[in-house]
Amino acid sequence: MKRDKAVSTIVATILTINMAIVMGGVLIAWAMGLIGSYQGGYQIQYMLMGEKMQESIVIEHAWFITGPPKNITIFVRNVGAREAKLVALYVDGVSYNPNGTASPWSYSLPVGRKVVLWTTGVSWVSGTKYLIVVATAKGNQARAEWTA
Amino acid sequence: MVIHVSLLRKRRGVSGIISGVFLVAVAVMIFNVLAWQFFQADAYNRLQQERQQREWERSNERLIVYLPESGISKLNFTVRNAGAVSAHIVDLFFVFKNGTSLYYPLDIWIAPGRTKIIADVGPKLITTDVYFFQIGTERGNVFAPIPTGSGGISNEPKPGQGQAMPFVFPFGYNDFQFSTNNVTWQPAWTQMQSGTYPYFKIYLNNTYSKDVIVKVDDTRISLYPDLDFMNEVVAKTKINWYIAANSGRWIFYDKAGSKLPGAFKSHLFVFLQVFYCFADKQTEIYGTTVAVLAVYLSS
Repeated sequence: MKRDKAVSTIVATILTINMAIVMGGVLIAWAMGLIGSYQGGYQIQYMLMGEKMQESIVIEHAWFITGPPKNITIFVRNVGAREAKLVALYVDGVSYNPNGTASPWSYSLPVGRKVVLWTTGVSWVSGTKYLIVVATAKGNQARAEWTA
Repeated sequence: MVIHVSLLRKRRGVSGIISGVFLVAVAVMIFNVLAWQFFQADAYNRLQQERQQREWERSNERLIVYLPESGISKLNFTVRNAGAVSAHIVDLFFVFKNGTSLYYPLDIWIAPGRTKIIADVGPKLITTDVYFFQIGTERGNVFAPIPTGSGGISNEPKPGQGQAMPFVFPFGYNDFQFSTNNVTWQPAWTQMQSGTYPYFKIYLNNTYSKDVIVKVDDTRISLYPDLDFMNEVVAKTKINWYIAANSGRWIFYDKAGSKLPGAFKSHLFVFLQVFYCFADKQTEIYGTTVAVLAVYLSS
């Protein structure tokens, strides 16, 4: 304590080292969080893309039935590797609720199985072509053009 | 404590160690991120490959549906798998020309390169029916007969078509022969002589898709002079004759039980009676005539 320089250099050095360690730790924690959130988002995106890719549906057949009631009957089959959730049916760009269901409708279609959707809402004309689209909750579509 | 003091006394201090630790930490973090990203991409690629495999199988599934038989009571058609993968036929879509639409589930597997007859499926048909039909597979492909034509498939029987014959005599010149000594054979149409006791052999085709056994003794040839139906000559088979599915063979008859009647140019009717059973169900015996032939005697 009797020396002129005292201990200020040592204290300053220790303080600097401590500050550097703490700031480095904070920086690593921040970077880890950033990476974690990036990884989380990325993983969800991969998962959704993978699920969408595993899902696949086709329209096998469409009947234009004179009835009564006059209707269009559509056979949809799940040819993918995971259950498909059908949520939309369009005929010539107009949305319809099939099988007398109310909005919003959905139908879970297991792998390899088929479902028959019918709608009485379309006043189809014999000889006319109709574009039929069935969509799933994951955004996949089955499209087919049929002549009544 | 000694180390700490010595570190503190050193001029360079500990900055090198701290920066080293930070560098290692950053390197580990970067490595982890890259490795994680690689595994994610790998998992995604695997799913993509699976999907591509499914799509490949789907696009390589090709069935050829032949036009069905007409004049039938139920749909009867042939399918050939011309694709590279086995096909599982699960749907039958049936639409009559009058607009009636029907659906029938099927459960038929067909291997690549194989041909299969799909019989007795769908609705009951009458001869006036005109219809279209399509079959669907588990992979979502749909196939129809070629050509279906715009007018549909008529179930009306075509000329020459009718009741299916279990056995067919091919009517070749050498398909009906006789012998007087059971050694030397010649065509029987115009060369047999009256007063002889001929042996006979006849070529018979089995049109069944199953093996049949032609029964001994009851399977026989009956010859009748055209002006004298009371004077019958019968030649019987001595053993059972086995004819494989969809193939033909010679059926040999024993020596005629009585001599051939008549004289030169005498005409005789030849009736072929066949009694038979299926090889897998020999207790059920069927009987049929195959053809009515005619011969005249040479002297």
